[in-house]
Amino acid sequence: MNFRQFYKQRLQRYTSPSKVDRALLGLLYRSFPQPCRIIEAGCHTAHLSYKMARIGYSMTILDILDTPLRKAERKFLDSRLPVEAIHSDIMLVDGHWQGLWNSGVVQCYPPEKREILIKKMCSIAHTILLIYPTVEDRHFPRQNKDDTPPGIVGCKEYPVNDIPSIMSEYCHELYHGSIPPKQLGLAYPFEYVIGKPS
Amino acid sequence: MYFQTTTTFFLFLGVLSLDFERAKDHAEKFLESCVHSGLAHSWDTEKMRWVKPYPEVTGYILSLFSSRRIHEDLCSQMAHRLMRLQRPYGGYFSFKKKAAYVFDTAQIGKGLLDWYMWSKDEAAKKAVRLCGDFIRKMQLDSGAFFPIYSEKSRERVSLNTSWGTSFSTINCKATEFLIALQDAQVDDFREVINKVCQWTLRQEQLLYTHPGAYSLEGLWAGGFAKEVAARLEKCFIPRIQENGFLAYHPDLQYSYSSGSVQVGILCALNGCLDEAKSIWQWAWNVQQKHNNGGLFQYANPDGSINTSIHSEINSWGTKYFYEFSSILQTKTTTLY
Repeated sequence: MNFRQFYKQRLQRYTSPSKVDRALLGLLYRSFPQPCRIIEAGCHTAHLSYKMARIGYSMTILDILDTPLRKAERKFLDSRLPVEAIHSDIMLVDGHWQGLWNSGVVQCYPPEKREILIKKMCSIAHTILLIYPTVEDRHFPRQNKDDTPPGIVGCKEYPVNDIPSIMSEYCHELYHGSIPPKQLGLAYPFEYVIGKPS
Repeated sequence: MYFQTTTTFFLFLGVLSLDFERAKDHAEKFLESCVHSGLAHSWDTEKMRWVKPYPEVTGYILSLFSSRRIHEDLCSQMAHRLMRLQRPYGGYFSFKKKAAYVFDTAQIGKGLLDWYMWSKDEAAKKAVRLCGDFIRKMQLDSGAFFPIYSEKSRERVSLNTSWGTSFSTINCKATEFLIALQDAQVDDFREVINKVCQWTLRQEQLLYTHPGAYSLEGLWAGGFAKEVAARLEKCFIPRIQENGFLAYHPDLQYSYSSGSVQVGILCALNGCLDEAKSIWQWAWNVQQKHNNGGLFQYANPDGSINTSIHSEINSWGTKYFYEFSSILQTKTTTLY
């Protein structure tokens, strides 16, 4: 068994979505005290936003892909939970929210576009929470397909070292931490930054 | 006539040198007396007792005494207390518990490094290495340092509450410690040093003498002497009054003594000896206003204590004054 196969097996053994959800929800609740109007940028099927809406958060979900967004919207409506679904690129969105969060997109933007993305996010929300994997983890080979849009599984990912730096340019208050693999039930850690734009 | 002028000149130099010596002696006595249970304190002139045990400042005093090879027992006491206070990841708390500060860690690290160079105590070397690792981990890609590590949430934190808790240029002072580490061949910090200096150079104009002077000290240590001279010329030298008084901020009527003395030292190092001597005269006047040899933390233009914030005599201002007197003593002797 080579190194890659070993970690693939380990990953399968450890993968437990509920653990990831628990860890991320804990972070979300801490970052956005209720009541709070929040937008999830790049929501896909928005299962965490759905859980947040169920305990009283006012949610807006946004994605560039229509199909998962409609699926998410239907789930909210079936449960009679209010939701605003926006089918758009984040760069084209107008409005203001108390909180904005995203998981797994920011690392897919090349460094030169990343700053524009973060600047845009900071212009539409009071508190930003960005969650991203530590892509440099040598134990976890990334797929890195060039032709897949950002945020989609397997798309190209870039080093994440500069994310707190860029956030520090736009936020007067900043927290940078990581969620260890054990807590996530994954083979690699997540990093996060919570920023309050100036 | 020639003989008379020369005699007067050397007599003047002798008196000046004696003043430096006297100032140093008094400051040293204060610094010696402010250490209790291995930690430096400030003296509250109203409460008439020692207050605020301060690990960071203990690092300053440890560095000063160790580098001069004086007060060995006291140094050993301080070093051991500081090593006991270190967190497992290398950082040091400030007043606020459960949060380690980059700035404090760097100052303590410098003290412990100087102690190690004197005592060759391996435990001190280990502690110093941990300090360096902690500081390295707190740096952003841009060069700035997260000022705080929260032990509770395990996060690097920057708040916007004050210069001590934000992405501030004061952390450039860590350069002094990192360069010393480099020189002692404990570890390689060239990239960290270069990044923080470059970041500091990109920041805005300096208004407060303290912590403004901290960032200049860091830049000076990093080899940016020209840039330091330009900033002194632009931000501080024009504000020095005839009697050497330098206000804490252009809009304030009192001085942060340590800040003034720090600017004075930088002036002396940059060759602005007249300005440096003028500040020294004012600071000496402040020292003479109290008999314990320390300098009031906040002082009025006439050297008397300013109690608008508190009424303490602190050890870091006094430590800087000791160094200032030494530098001017050397410079004056060398010059003539």
